[in-house]
Amino acid sequence: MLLADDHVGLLKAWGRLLEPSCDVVGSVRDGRALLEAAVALTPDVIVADLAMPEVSGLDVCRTIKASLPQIKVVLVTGGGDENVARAAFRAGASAFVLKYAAVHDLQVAIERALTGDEYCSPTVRMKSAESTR
Amino acid sequence: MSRFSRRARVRALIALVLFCACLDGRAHGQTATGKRPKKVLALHLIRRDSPAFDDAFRAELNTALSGQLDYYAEYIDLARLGDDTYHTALRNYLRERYIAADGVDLVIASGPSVVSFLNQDRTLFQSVPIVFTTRPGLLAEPPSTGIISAIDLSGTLSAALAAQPNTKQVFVVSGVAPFDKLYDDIFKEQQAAFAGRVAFHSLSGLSMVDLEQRVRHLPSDAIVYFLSLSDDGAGHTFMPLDAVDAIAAAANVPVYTWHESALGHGVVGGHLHSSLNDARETARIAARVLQGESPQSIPVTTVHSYTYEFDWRQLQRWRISESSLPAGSVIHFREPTLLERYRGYVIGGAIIVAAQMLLIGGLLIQHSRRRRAEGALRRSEARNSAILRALPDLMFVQDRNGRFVDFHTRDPKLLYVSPESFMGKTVRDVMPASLADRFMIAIEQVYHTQEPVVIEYELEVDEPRHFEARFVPVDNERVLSIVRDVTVAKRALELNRVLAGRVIVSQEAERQRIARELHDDVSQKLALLSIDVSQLSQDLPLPEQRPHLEKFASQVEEIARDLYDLSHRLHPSRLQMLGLVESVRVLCHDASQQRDVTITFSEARIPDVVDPSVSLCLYRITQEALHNVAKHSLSPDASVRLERNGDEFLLIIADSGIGFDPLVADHSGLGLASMRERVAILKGQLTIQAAPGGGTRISVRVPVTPPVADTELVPEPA
Repeated sequence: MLLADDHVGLLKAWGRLLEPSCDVVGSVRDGRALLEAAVALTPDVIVADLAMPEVSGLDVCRTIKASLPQIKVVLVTGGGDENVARAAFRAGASAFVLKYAAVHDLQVAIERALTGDEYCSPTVRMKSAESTR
Repeated sequence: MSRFSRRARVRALIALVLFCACLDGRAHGQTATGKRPKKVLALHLIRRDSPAFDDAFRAELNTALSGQLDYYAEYIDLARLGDDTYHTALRNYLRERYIAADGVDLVIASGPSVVSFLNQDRTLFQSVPIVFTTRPGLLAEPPSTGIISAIDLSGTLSAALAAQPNTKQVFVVSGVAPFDKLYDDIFKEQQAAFAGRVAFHSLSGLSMVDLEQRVRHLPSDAIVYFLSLSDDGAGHTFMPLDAVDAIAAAANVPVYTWHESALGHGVVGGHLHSSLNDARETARIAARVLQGESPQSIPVTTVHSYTYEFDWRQLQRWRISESSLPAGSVIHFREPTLLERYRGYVIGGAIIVAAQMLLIGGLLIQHSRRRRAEGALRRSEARNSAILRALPDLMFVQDRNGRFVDFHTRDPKLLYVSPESFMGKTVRDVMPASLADRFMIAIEQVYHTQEPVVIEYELEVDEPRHFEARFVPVDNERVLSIVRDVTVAKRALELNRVLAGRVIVSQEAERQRIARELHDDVSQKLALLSIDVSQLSQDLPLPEQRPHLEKFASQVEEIARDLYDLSHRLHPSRLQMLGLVESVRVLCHDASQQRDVTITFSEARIPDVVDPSVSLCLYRITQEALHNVAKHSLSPDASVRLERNGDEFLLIIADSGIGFDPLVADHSGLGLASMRERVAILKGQLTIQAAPGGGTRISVRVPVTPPVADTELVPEPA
């Protein structure tokens, strides 16, 4: 498990949430560092913030999907709607999780990702996503 | 006046008689018809008017006899009628001349003296009928007939006293010959009726010299009545008309008379006897006799041959009014008035004067009109001149070839070149080539459309300046251009645009900063808080306490969601995340969802990565336009098209709604100004096509790469 968020407090929160069930191999604070760490550490799952400095979460997804397709990316975001979620899935993300719902959703999202399914926080309004696709 | 000795008169008479006889003999012979013409001998006294009697006789007889007339006339010397020798000689002559030859068919005795002569020896023309003119109391021996000419000497007296009511004395002129005395006696009888009215003075018996002397100094209340004068008191014999001439010439008062022949010899006139009328009457009777009637069967009648006749010149001379003359008076010798004499000249002159008056009148009216018109023109010119002085604009008049034919400027320094350098020259001679082309295109367009054409251009005068030239047609040959220096306005506009651009850019930057602050800091902290609360809830020992914390967590979640929405509204951070195409697609989708409008989106050749400032510009314009569609257009549908054409992005937002009038309406609520400013920052082009009821179409062209100069104004990407 590799964590990436520019907010230190949140990085620690992810750690607290996941360490009981996962092996956190590293945590970084920007997109570029994340890509480097991913190549170096080849985690099973990356939990990354959507809005990161240097390289955004979406770009990370695209790069990972292209070069390390076996790594699953779970994108977390402080706020987002179905359009952003859709863009995230199109970029290659396996899950899209709202940060304030992480306590409930993050574990489920990681499990789904590992089984090859997609997951999106239920509070993201997905009802019209298909109509604009 | 003539005065002869008796012997000389006799010789002259014989010579005259012979001469006349010869003349008549040659003139009257057998006619060509073969029928013997009637031979008529007329006997007259020697008088001036005798030839006129002949004419009357001849005319009447010729008519009655259809030209079968052989007419002779002889003249008897009145002065010799008492002379036996003369009588004998005359009878012998007549007998020899007429009786001894073929004889005559009729003798006309023209006057009582001739009747007396014939009565002395009726054997002379024994059995030849005599037709006579005579006075009362004297008839010719038979066989004869004729007329008695009435003698009325009082008519003239009545007329004279009526014409000159102040007359108190009448001086009566008469001679001493028996003939004269005859009339003198008749007058004395007839004057009795006027005895109480005027005093009569007889001038009979005076010599002509004394007579003339006497009438030369008569009192002013007198008139002269000329009766008859053949012999004066001195024994001189006169032709009566000669005597009239002499007396009338000498008299200092008006002279009246009773015989027609005296008119025109200085007398005023009177109730005049016409011997000619008597002659005509006599001739008519002679004709009847010649045509076979017996003289005895034709009764002798009295003929009254008098008419009131006057000499106009004498009336004027003695200041006698025509109105005082008897009714029916005939005025002779009336001299035409100047008007009558020069009627043609007067009428012609009057016409010319009238024509001149009309011409002068017309000229005066025209002059007056022209002065008014000139006044109006002067006022108009003064007004135009004042307007021209007040206007800051330059004006040029050019022909179709662009040749400058006139100009006006308030300040010559505004001219590109001096007047000497451009007047009479063409635009191409004076202006830079590219500008001259634009001028000529504008002039040609004005000629074709007859509508004003406006062009804007830049020209280096004292410094680079902006001008607006407005071309309008003057006539078919000339175009007027009004050139205004719009440099200041242009610079102000440019500054305004730049400032507006800066406002937009700085506003966007500030929004972006706040949005980022909310996202990077507050939002993260809220997320952390949410996680902590959730974890705390799970860690609580008493399960019944959990709902409170879960409620608290959901409130935090709601705040976080609101914060996200606020952040997004402040700055479309997802533009960066989703890219331009996806963001615009989302905009269209959201607008369709929020309002009852069907919005279709299409795109072509838009790259994944678009410059953030360009991306933001297109995004914001789409956002604003779709807002207008939903809020104002009442259109059921709309379309958004985004594509790349070479170095440009093209964005078209169109609807089929109610549209608006871009020239009239106040469109401040439509955000059109901010659209323009956003496009202007990127040096792009915004076109709005709208008409009331005709929908709205907004086209935006912006460069793919934004201009370098404005990059400093563009906010950094999120």
